[in-house]
Amino acid sequence: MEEHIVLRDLDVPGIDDIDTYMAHGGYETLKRALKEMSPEDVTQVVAASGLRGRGGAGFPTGRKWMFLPKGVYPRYLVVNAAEGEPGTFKDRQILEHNPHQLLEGIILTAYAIEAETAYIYMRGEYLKALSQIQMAIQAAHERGFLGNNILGTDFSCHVYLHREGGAYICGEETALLNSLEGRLGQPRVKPPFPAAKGLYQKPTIINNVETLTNIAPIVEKGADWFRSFGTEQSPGTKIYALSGHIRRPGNYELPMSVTLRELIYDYGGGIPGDREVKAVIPGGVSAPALTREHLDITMDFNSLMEAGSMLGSGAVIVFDETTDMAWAAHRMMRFFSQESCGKCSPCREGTYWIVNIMTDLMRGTGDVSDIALLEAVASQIQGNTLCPLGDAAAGGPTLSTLKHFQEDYIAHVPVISSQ
Amino acid sequence: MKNQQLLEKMHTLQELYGEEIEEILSHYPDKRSALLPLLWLAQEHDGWISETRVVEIAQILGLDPTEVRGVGGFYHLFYFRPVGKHTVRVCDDIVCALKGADRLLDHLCDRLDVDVGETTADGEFTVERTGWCVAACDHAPAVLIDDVYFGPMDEAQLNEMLQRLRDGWRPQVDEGIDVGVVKGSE
Repeated sequence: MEEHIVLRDLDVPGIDDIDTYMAHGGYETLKRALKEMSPEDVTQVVAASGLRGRGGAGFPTGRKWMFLPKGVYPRYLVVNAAEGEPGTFKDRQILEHNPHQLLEGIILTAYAIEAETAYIYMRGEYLKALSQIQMAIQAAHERGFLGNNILGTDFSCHVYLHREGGAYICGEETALLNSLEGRLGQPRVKPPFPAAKGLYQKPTIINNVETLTNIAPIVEKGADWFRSFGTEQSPGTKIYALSGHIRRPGNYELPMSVTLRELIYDYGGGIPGDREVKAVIPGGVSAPALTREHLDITMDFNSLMEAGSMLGSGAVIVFDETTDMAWAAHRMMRFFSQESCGKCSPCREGTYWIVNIMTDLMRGTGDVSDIALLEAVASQIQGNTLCPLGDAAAGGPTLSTLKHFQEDYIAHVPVISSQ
Repeated sequence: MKNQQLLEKMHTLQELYGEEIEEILSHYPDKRSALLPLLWLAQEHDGWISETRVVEIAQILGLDPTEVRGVGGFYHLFYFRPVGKHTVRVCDDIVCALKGADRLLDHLCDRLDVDVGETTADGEFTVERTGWCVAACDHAPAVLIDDVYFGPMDEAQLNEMLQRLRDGWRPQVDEGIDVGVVKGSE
């Protein structure tokens, strides 16, 4: 990878400053689009590029925009900057270091979907990102890229930063909307989908930070250029947030044709102490764990799904051979139990009981029958909840570790000596 | 100094931040959306959110105080109890746990003689575990000191920082880590 598409801060120092950003072609695409392209033209380029949502679900971005009902206004754009998937710290780098490219993408998207108001719903802890984005909004206003009648056109756009209060569930788009409306951050029943009835019951598009940061380059350079990276079904690059037992943790933006092995060994420098890989979670803790048998898999949406996992947020967590995966599952389930919003009882009760059963095992007070019990509880969560949190907790940390690393659970079962 | 604080405590959010509140409300077609922003305003000013502030916010938004408190309590980052002069929050989610967060948290509690969630007797420090990922996994184990990110953190560094805090240090955002930027580490 020679150049970065979204992590351009790695190529251009100081690109968070509007003058530097503009000196490197920043906001030129916006100027050109407002002059030469219709909103439909922008949508068509994005649809043709094959860009898929970078927040976790991988839904085609252009198609999402086309779901908006015709002629219904006002419409809203909501930027999902509530990055909370454990292992994920990619949007944060964009927000802190490349804010104007995100903002240009937001304005272009607002133009494409004909929204005059955009909210950036951002994680409450991101103090530096909050101030960087606030400064970027201010600077863009001063240059006439935001506000009323942008660059003399009849397009107006206002972007507001909304600091969230700390709840993983608010990364789920309908929970996010409730939270933005000042309510409990609990998911809504779908349908209606946000494109039809979202924020304040108006048509709303919710896009992730990394997704939107791809928009200006796509509109500038075209769909074919974007498709020259990655795979047919997963075009473009992806930021892989690499952490855990790895020599060089960090964010790596790479074409989605990179393999897990290349990511870990060529980019991440391998595992400290030259130990072996035991498990890898390829897309944040919601993604089912893989084993060292899977290292040659391509890190794109479809290949990971075929392998029984998912790309999710692109957070790659590496566990070396010394890791007790039952312990790791317990820790991840503690998170899901804490963050279950409480709306659906299978998730609220199921995650609670999984943690209890796993805690028993960790304390050495469990029983061999607990392993089947964990499977039973997890399978009763799956498919029975409104949002993906319950499914993720069941299929991710619980069932995938029971499947691949059952011996780690058995090691916690006290040995009962026979009479 | 103390009198000054008492005097200031008597001011309402409206008196202290009238313009800011007006600005915040103008962002939304439904003023209820300003709930989290106003909770932040109160917490940034007082360090926590008192019942008095809850009532004030409810009045501004035309809501029942119970609703403000109820919705606010759903979120982890608001303190509805007084906290110490400094908050020290250890991330103990999976990646930080792999890198020794539990040991760090035990050490911190021992050193300050508190349990997780408690404030030291001298009112200096409140210790918390996050229970969720703070998105600094490349710097694991990460610790938030007065909301500024530090990591990878070990016991010796933590001891040193506690001493600096006692000596009057207030961490600034720019002193914290630069997340995501690839660096060498073993």
